Amino acid sequence: MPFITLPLEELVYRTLPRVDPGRALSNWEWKVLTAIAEALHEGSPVAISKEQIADNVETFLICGNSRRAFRVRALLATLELLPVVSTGSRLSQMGVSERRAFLYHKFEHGHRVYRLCAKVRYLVFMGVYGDEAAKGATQFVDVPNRPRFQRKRAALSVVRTPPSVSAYA
Amino acid sequence: MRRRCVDVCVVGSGAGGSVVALEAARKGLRTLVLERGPRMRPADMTHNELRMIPSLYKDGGMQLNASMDLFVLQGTVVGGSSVLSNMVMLRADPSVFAQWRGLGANIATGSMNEAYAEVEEELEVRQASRNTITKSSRRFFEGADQLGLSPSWMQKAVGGCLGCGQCNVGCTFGTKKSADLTYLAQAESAGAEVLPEALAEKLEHRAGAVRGVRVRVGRGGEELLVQARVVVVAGGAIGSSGLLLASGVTKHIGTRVSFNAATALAGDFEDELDGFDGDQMTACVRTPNWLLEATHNPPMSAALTTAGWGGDHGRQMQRLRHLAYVGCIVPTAPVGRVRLSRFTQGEEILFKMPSADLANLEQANRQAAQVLFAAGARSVAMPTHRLRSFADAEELRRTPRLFRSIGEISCGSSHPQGGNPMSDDPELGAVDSSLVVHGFDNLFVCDASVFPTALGVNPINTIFALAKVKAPGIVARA
Repeated sequence: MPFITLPLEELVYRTLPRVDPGRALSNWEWKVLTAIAEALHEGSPVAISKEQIADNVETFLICGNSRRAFRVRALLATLELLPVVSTGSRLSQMGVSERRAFLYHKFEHGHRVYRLCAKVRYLVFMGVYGDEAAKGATQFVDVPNRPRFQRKRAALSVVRTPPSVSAYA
Repeated sequence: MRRRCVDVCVVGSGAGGSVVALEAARKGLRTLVLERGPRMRPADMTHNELRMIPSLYKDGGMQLNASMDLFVLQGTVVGGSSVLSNMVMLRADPSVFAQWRGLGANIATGSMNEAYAEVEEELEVRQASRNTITKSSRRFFEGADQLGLSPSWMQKAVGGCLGCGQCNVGCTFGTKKSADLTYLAQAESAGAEVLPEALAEKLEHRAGAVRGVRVRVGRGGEELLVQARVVVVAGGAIGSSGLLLASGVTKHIGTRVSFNAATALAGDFEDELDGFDGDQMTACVRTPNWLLEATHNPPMSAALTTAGWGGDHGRQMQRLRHLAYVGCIVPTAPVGRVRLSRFTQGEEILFKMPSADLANLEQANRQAAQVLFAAGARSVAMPTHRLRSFADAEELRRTPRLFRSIGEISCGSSHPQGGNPMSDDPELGAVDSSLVVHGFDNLFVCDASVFPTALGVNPINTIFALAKVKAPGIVARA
């Protein structure tokens, strides 16, 4: 009975939309993620598009090559389709403010499934604050640009610079 | 299928496995170390969190318990979690070993102390360098001192750390004394072989003796059978149990799983502290029930540990230079389990935070907040999903409950322990005090999974030390 031994992971992979080679999400899932990012990115100091956030999350998933990435895909599908039950429309079909209000309300007061789905906020944070643009917005100073490290580099460069021609004069 | 014959096969290259591999190689034994993750040298590492975290962490950094309310962070890379750790070399309290002895684990405090000293000398453990202590850590220290909590500067194995503050994505400068650059490197010099990207899938065993390890190597998944006189499982608290269960070794395997459960709260200060500019972790307060550690992260990791939704979260992130984070670490009761999921065929962590531990965690957060207020914080944000911020210590005192369930807070653990508990009583433990699996002659476990209870402090020093104590006995069986 091959059906019985089919792991959930395989079942989910077979049920979810096809993913193009080299990608972690299907186009449909990527669009759902942009819709969620657009809603949850509100108030962030980082100037970044919803598409870039979704791209960053996908980069994260590709680098991880995790067997559990299917959970993320299942989570996105659940978030997109669950609102149909209560509102009659899919999440991505809602307006931004309606979508935001819906997510915040459900994440805090909704059924346990929604509270599990609230993990999606971590993905959005990764997509926003894992971007280079976040460094400027949070005033984070990259390691090579910190005064301590610049002094170290300057000291090293003195050692490494060959003697000037005049030194041989 | 390819076959390899060796004397000692070590599954896992972290703190426990590397020490055993060195001991075996020094004895002239043919030693093979299998590591499911890649080899990442300092030159391969970058400060790009978005790429490094999924590359270095198990399950791409997405390992959670089954109820999805506890992140469990472990390394999957040559050197194991030590590559990602802060190399905080705290010793376990002697009362922990007394408790273990009560559970049938014959661990002498004296021999552990000798092993600690040996490890600390070999890894050049020193007090955190003044040059790399951040302003935020100093504030934490001052606040704790004011409250009479006896804070201390940590003992660390970070060599000539430059204080870039990115320990948790690997050390690009190669100064950290992680297992891959110390014990494992020495083991390789002594003749041991390390096979990266080699996933041990199953142990072949019969009549109490392990005959070999079935391995899939590389992205292509080439099959390899490693035949060894002695097999040492050192894949960490979750992975070791998973491999044993997948191999049909089940008695007490996957039981007594515990965690150092951790939350982070943030104090907002008037002046810029630049907590990211220096060693991530240098100051701590130890109490019998919890450990407080001043900490800080680069933006992406900081965002994941910062409270609040939407605008609340964004406003806090804008204040990153002004924030001082404190990690609150509480040892949980060993009530967790590892089992093989019926659905995914992978390891599944079953853990529900006991209410006593949650209450303990709340008290730890209260004390950490008081430390931050004493240090001059103008507000402190709790580790709740919805922003819960306090303006002063009095307001905090007036609040009866900070959180009611683990579902309300961001909680994680980089220190899973147990799963293959140590006890000389086969009815209580999975391995005996020599770390051999009950009922086997040549199958050992040597990592944090043998801890019968959680330490309550960063476990890496104890894993190294326990391996130091037990490695000669393990190798003698080969």
